[in-house]
Amino acid sequence: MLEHKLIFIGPVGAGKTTAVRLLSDDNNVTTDAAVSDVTSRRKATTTVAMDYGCLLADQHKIHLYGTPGQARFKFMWQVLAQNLAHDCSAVVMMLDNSRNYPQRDLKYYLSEFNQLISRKPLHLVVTRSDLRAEPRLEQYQQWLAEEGLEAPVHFIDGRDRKQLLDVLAAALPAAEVNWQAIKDACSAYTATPPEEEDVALVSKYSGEEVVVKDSIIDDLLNIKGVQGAALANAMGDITTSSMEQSEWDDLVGFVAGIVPVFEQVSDFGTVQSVVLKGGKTDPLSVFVESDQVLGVRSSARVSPRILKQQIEDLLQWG
Amino acid sequence: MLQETLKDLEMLGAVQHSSLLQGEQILASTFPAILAEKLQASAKVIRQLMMAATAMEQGFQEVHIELQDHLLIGYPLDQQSLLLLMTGKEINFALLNTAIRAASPRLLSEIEKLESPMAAKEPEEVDADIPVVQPELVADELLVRIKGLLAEYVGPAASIVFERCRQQWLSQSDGHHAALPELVEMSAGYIEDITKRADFVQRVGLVKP
Repeated sequence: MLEHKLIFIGPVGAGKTTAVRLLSDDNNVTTDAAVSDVTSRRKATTTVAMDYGCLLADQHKIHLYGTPGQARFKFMWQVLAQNLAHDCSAVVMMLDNSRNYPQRDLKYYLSEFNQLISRKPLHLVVTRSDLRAEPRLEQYQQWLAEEGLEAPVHFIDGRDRKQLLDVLAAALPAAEVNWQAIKDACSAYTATPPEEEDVALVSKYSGEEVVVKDSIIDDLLNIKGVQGAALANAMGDITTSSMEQSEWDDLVGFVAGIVPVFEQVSDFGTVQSVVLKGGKTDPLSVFVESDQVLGVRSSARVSPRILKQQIEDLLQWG
Repeated sequence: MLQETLKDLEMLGAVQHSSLLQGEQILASTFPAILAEKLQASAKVIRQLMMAATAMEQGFQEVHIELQDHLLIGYPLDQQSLLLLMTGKEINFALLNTAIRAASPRLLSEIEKLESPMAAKEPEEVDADIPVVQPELVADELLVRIKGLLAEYVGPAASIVFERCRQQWLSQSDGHHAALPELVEMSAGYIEDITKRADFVQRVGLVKP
């Protein structure tokens, strides 16, 4: 029996768990838990540890590992990439085409799994293009080329076992498996058209330049522990705020102004966020985008790392 | 003594470099000497940020600046002294904060000793880590050639891999020739096959600077 391993990586909701479930024989293991954060806008559960499944085909045993999408569980990324699946045959990165900034996801996961991807073939699988057709395949190929990578890009319906098997066959070229026989055994698949409600949740694709919408201020107040938020432009002018005291707005505006100065004098690269904390005052986290900053005042009990993940999801799904 | 305390902090996982500044003067530092000027400028901006927060009656005690791969954390010990740490992003803050709280009295006491007239005559420790003569830096051309060699072993991903190694190497060393083997070793780590890895290292050795 020849053994192969594949690791599935990518953001929440891209279809990793579904892929492992559909491709596996009846012995898959998932670690789903109900979501309590902004992810609940799109799905009821999320993977908290890993997905595992196994497919027996001819004389081959294919182990399938799915990573959790949320960065709060990234300790499992290391366990999988450096331990359980370090000797995988290929890396399958799944991206959700309906997220607002798919290139941001691509860059993030390339960076997080760069060691593994540098050693193993990468296959990029794009799902949910039925919800939004853009960005298109050529765009992904260009983004990969910009990163110095050559990898096949597969646009598929992530709910179709046959299409997933095509990805598997491409990712395991050395495995002499009769893929067609497995596909023939699959029951016929009829794509379910997206529901109007789902389509309504997806924004029109307008490029990769992040634009933080004013509505994020109200959305943030729904996150447990967030006490107020303010959005400022690059000049430090507050455009929207729910901060109770104007001093907090001033501080957010000040950070907007001082970040470019810091970047210029320090030469340490681009600043992604600034967090002021400690003492008796609740922390202020300021997230920096190209022409905007978003300041969030939260309870000291809220981890800035988890807050960042929640904001990232709001940016991608808002 | 200051230097030892800073090095103790680096025993905590994910703390890569630390520096203690008073005003614009670096009292002790484990950052590469080549970054001294940038560090002083960074400290100045961080101080301005803390002063602005204080003026707005927001009594913060630390500032975390998140960069691409690192965190730069500033802890004002008093009005003049600032402890700066460069850490990885996956750091245990509870552990770090406890260690800083424990080390602060020691650091302040050492700073006080430095400020006394007797200590002023013995500034050796203060400047010990900032060499007057900068070592020769590795030329960009050489780095490009090493990257090209790496590409022969790991393929198109070499540019990403090498850039990542270069950044890490610069943050850990001065970027001078003496530290070049560390960069080569880091890059070689991405070549899975041991024989090919050795071959890469040998070929880099043949590249003339």
